[in-house]
Amino acid sequence: MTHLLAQQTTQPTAVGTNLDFVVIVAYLALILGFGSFFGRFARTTKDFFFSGAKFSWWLIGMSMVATGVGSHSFMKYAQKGYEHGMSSGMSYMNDWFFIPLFMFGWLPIIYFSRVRSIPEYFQRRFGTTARFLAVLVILEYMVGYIGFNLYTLGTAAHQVLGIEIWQAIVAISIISGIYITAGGQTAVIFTDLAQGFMLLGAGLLLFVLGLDYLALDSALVDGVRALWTNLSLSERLPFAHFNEPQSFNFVGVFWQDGIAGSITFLFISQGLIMRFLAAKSVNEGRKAILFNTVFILPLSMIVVGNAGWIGNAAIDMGLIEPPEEARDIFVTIASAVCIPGVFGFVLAALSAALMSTIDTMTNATAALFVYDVYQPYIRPGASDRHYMRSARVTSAVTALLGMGIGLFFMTFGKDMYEVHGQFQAFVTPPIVAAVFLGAFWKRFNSAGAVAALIGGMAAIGLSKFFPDLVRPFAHGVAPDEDGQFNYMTAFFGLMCSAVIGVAASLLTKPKPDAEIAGLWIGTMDFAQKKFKGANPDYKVGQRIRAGLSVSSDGTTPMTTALTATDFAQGKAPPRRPVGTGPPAPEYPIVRLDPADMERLKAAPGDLLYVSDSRWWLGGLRSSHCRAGEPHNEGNAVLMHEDAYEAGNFLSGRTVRVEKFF
Amino acid sequence: MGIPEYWWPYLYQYGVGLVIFMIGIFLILGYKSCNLTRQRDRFWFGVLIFGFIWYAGIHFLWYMAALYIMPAEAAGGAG
Repeated sequence: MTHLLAQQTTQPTAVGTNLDFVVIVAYLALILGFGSFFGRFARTTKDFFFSGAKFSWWLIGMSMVATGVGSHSFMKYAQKGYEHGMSSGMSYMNDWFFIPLFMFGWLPIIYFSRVRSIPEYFQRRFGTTARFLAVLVILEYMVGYIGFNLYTLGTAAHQVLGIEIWQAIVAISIISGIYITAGGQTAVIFTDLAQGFMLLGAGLLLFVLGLDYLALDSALVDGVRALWTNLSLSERLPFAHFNEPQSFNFVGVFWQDGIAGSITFLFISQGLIMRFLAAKSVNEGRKAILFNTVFILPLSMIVVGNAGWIGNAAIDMGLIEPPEEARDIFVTIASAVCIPGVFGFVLAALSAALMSTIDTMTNATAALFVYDVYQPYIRPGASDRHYMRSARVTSAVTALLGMGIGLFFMTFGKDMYEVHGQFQAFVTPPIVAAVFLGAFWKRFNSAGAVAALIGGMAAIGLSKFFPDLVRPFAHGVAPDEDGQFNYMTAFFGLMCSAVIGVAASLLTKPKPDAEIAGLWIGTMDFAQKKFKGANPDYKVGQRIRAGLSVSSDGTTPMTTALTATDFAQGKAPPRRPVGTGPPAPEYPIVRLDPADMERLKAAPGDLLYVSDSRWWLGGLRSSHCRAGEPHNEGNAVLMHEDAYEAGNFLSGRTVRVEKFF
Repeated sequence: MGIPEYWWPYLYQYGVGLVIFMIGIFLILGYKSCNLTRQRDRFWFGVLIFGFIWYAGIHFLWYMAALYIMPAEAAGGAG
């Protein structure tokens, strides 16, 4: 294979060409238009923040790729790959151990209890004080994270394209801010789907071009052989050395990323939780996390790290000079192996990685503000229309705030970034411990949660002054030049928070069972019953296809926890509660043919999921419904006009129906 | 003869990981959040076990490739 796409030079150009600029600008314009298109699908706050809770697993799973891979990931893991070889991505392949607790614990808890944010979970599980602390911590974390990502992308753009850091920060903030404000979570999911393909494609393309580069004028397989041969044994292994060097070792990464990081990602990431709440069911959420963990994460490991591996081998082969700084290896390799235009495509993937992280965080921050600050404390009891407006305003303000913090980081440089990082090291382990114990230990109570949050932060603070406190957890890893055990601080903080929280819980009265029903793992049957408004029916039926007809005969636009029989008997739905509580279940009643009901194994009152039969829409045109009394009008689904419009259905299309429980 | 140092991370990850994984399994089965009398839960339980084996298997094969596809290189020592 010849180097059709590679520049025939051993020296990187390091600066993009005009064609690269054009590719990047075209990509950004495309994403802006694509994301803004989904504004029409956001009519309510449930649509805006949770996309109506109706999407398929592949949409959720694929969009998570882009959320999990930030722009800094390419730089960071390429550098680690260059310095340490294939162990660079070991943190991408150690997430499975907590999946049982996520799939059968945390996911059903948040889905069935209709928790909309982590602080709301704290409110219901522990009380107001714990919620207040959680709001402060998580809001700071998310806004700071947006700023940090903008700053890293600005730095990369400056380095590669020669544009000013602030220009990149402002441009990306405005673009992502516009489509998030317009389309909310639906725009986030669909743009992240596109950006996920974009960054996976660009990363894999870079890998192939890199192998081709190493192959010289031979076949691609020779490039694989050259890569493998020019890495030492330790660089070919999937794990780093057990506890050396201090800056990158297996045991530190295992506890920081595999344990603390995995719990943080799965259990307290507001953006990720909202993504799962956008799934049409718990089962779809399980499929999404399975797809992501088993297939996408190993692929992502290759995508983000391969530039470093290629660079390592290319330097050994004398094809390129080592970069002055190891962190420049991504740009060095990308510019060495790509022709103009392709280089721009790779850089657009960096922007994709950034935007897809920022849009998720912006939408999540807006949700947190609306549900945990605005609705309960500033304007309780307003209409959903009002909250919808406030959601859009908050999204725009969050995008501007993130931009401001990105510019702030730029002004004060590395020092501010480190302050932010250290603040996170303080606050994350305690909140992780509190969520984890709350979900899996019934006896854990409000006093325990507050003690874990405050005591955990205090213990981590102490460890900064007395680093030897962390030494028993260090597994022989040496401290850094400041005497700190950086990797192990998270583990130490988790342990201290958990011990303090457990002790405080055991010394105080437990919360009554009724108050925590549905909020911890031992009460999942109750949670499902409450979610459905009746006993769950686990009989699995078939999916059916049918025509969709608009009819008001026995159908309803919405009802609240009423069965079709209740409705037929003239019982009025209770008023929907407003204010701080979770939304009551609202489902339109639809009617099906008796034969279809039999094939679905459904009875009146059961929950159904009705969607456009085109699978590739991923649930964009769909609705959860409640089965009403059967009709005798043949193979058709009768649906009220309002529900038809709310579900974004199109006339003349067949729909697919499945039983929800 | 002790276990070569380069195997320590593998044994540690899948040793400590197995303990965490099993605690999770016992919790979800003990509290019947995963109820093996239900067909769908039995499927997902199988998936959970498969996932553990999948990762342990990938890493094991990766080790084998790193160690034995180029035995001469392997003599260079692990880091």
